[in-house]
Amino acid sequence: MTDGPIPVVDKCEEWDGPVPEPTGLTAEFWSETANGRFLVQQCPNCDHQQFYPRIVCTNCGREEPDWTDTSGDGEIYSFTICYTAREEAFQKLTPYVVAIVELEDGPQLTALVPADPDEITIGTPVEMRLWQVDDDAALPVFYPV
Amino acid sequence: MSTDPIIAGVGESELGKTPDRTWIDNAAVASVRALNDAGLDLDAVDGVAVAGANDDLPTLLLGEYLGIDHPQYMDGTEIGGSAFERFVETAARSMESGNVDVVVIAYGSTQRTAGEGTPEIESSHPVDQFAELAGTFTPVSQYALATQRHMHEHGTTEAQLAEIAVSTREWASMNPKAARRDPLTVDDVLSSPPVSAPLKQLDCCLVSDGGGALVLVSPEKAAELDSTNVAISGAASTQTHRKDMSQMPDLTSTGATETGPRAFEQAGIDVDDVDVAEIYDSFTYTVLTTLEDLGFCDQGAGGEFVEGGTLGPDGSLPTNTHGGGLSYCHPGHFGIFLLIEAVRQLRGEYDGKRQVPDATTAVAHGTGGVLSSSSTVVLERRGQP
Ligand SMILES: [Zn+2]
Repeated sequence: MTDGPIPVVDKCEEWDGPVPEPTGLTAEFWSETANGRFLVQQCPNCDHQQFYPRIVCTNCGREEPDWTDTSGDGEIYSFTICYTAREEAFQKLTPYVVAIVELEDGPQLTALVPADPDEITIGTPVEMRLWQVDDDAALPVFYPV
Repeated sequence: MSTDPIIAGVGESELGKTPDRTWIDNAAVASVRALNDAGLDLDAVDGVAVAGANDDLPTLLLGEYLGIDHPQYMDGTEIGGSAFERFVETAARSMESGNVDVVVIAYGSTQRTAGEGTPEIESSHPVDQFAELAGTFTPVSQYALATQRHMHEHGTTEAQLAEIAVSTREWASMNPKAARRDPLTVDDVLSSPPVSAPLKQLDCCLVSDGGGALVLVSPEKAAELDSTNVAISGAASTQTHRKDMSQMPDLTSTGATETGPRAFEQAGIDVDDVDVAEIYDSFTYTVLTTLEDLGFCDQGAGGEFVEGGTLGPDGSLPTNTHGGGLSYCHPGHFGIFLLIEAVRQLRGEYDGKRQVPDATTAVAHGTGGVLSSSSTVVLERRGQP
């Protein structure tokens, strides 16, 4: 498990893909990514963890569940290699890997894996980097360990 | 049961490319053809259902466009490609109340002419902020994530998936309306360009314009009509997630694990009783996982099951006998076309090898979203064709 914040990599200049558009609820989540923190929700009532952020706990219905830090460490649960993309920013990256990552201390999420497809298989251990793509938000991406 | 609703009419609009038509034109043409097939006029209609349309109040538009006044049953619920199987279920329940006798269930699309739109991040949907930032803009990547996991857990191979495309093409070769009719081999599928690995171009459905419709009638109304009775003997629907596979409860099985057994139990049948299967085929994998989930084979055994032409004209489970979304047409929400073909097979409308001999029981299974919604309908022929 990584100690301390998750490394934040400045990609503001080179990233021309979509950027997060925080809604009321996700504003806090996205602003913390810029500080090297990747938060998931953990319900104080029932301990249920969930991602993406939602206004209620999907297990017990408690409103506004708490946030908790994750290490960003996980493993590849499944992946695909994309050979085409509708967005120009991703067309430049083809073929690129997208994976469902199972966080060791949290739920699953879908994320870009900026690595050689040959390095990736199901079960590959990965760690998170946060790509800062604008002033207020950093994207979670995963590299093989 | 003699109380089961009957599908008395089916019809399609022109398929493929319809540059001079709107989605509602295609839905309306299909509707009147289905009514004509049933031997009914528009003024007999007292229920409308439509989904997948580019209108925020689609049943209001379809009713107005067809001049249907005061229908008692309306449904525009959008659950993707399985919406029409679900409409059959909800319309059937509504008929049981005794207020509704003739329901038109329709779909229309011009997605091929329109081309693929520019994706937008919907700030109103939190999951979009993550899935689309990862670069998964199209359903194919989401399906590929499920396929990869299935291969990992069960040893399913790309060649086994390809067999589904090959069997489906064999059926398409006998359907003059099918867009792709040339013979296909497993090697052709395997060597087609990768789209989102492990899925390749020939694992993916077509992009078509077109519409389809069916007319569901009460048993009382059916008795007035001169039509082979194709009855709805079981129907069930469910949903699991929206548009990102990390939210799917189990990446290798779908809601069909619930809707299959429920629909089969209502119908009083077992999977072995199914003569013809029409299974949503947005991708080859969709068929494979659905066959497992419906119980045609064990979980994880779908790869072996589809080997050797099981689903083709000489196989033990004739499947997607029009050529499916892979080879016949796929105007976005394919579920309506599964029901249309099931009805035609049960009526015995085809000649030669295209007709499944003595087909009396069919299953039409719709899938919507990204393996997200599931609807199973069991249809039974009553009497001789
Ligand atoms: Zn809770």
